[in-house]
Amino acid sequence: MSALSGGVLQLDSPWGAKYVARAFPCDVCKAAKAGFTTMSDDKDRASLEELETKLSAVAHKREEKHSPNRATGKPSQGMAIGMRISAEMIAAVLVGLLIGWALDRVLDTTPWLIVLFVFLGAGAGGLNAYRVAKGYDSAVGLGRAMRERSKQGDED
Amino acid sequence: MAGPLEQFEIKPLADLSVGGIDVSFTNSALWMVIAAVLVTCFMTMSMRRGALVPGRWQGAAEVMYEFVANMLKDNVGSAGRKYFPFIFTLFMFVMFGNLLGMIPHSFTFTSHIAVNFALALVIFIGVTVIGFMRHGTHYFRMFFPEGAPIATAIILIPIEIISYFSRPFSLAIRLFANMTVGHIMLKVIGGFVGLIGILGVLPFALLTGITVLEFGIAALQAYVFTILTCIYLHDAIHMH
Repeated sequence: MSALSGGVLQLDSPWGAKYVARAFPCDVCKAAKAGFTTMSDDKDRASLEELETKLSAVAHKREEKHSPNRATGKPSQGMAIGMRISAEMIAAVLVGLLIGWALDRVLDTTPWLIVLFVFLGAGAGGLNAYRVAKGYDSAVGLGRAMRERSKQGDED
Repeated sequence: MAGPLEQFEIKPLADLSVGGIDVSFTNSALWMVIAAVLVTCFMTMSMRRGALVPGRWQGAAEVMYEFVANMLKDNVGSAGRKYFPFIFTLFMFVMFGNLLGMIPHSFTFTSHIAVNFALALVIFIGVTVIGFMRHGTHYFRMFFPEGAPIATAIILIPIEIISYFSRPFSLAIRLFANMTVGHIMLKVIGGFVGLIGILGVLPFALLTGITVLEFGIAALQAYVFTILTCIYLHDAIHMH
């Protein structure tokens, strides 16, 4: 008992504030409460400190959540981002090709629509790659995605 | 020494034909069943005791659960909670598929575009249906970027539609490319070890490093596959 309360005293040494959990139902706590919280000054300082740690924890969490690379994990995953961008470009051209080919067959306009849609697909591929690189990939509509990002920027 | 592409060969284990369509039970199907069974065993058996203070297995299962739950919460919000079972199943299935592929002489079913594309198509169709169910025809607003001049619609709408339809393709291709490239690389470098005698130590050292990297990629690609699903789900639910 005496050794434990000695520990509490040591922890308290800088300001004399108690560091024991408030709801901890032990003798040490009671002793600490009875012994050290009589000065309101110390109490205020303790609660302020508590508030500060809570605030910094919240800020840290928020920063983590809104980091631009949340879709790809760590920013150091260069190869993963490269793979994503290449897959994005290939996929868009492929889809353009597919749509053009299907429309050509239906409308009997071979080869015009397939040519047009390959170019459109390449455009979409470029757009998608740009969005991945910029981290705008949370929406199809670029305007909305950019607005969302600027909104996020304001929050941070 | 087997060629680097032989590991991806699909071999029928039990011939089966329904209405003239070949539905043989293949090695790919076998490893999918193994993955599904392993995931089920892992989750049910480690959570069987459901202790307040988790043991080792229960701890691992809880880490998985919390990881996916947090991913869903951060990317979709509380509206995504009801899709958790699907997202969690998807993540575990893809991750076990990737990791089981790292066992020598096993088969990596995620290195086949047919498997990945089927998964991606389910996600794509599901997300589109959810989008239309929640927003009706308003969901078509997705295909025109807000704030762009009306005159550009004739170019932008086809591009946005292609961009939207490229989602399942990019999901499938990314996973396929990562798995295939990794396994070919391991096989090719592994082939050098025996060929060049004592100098084979060098590719062996490289191989050791790449194997570690491949384990990382296996987990990372499962993560990327799942988080993109979450992002698509977020789009469908919260279009503004």
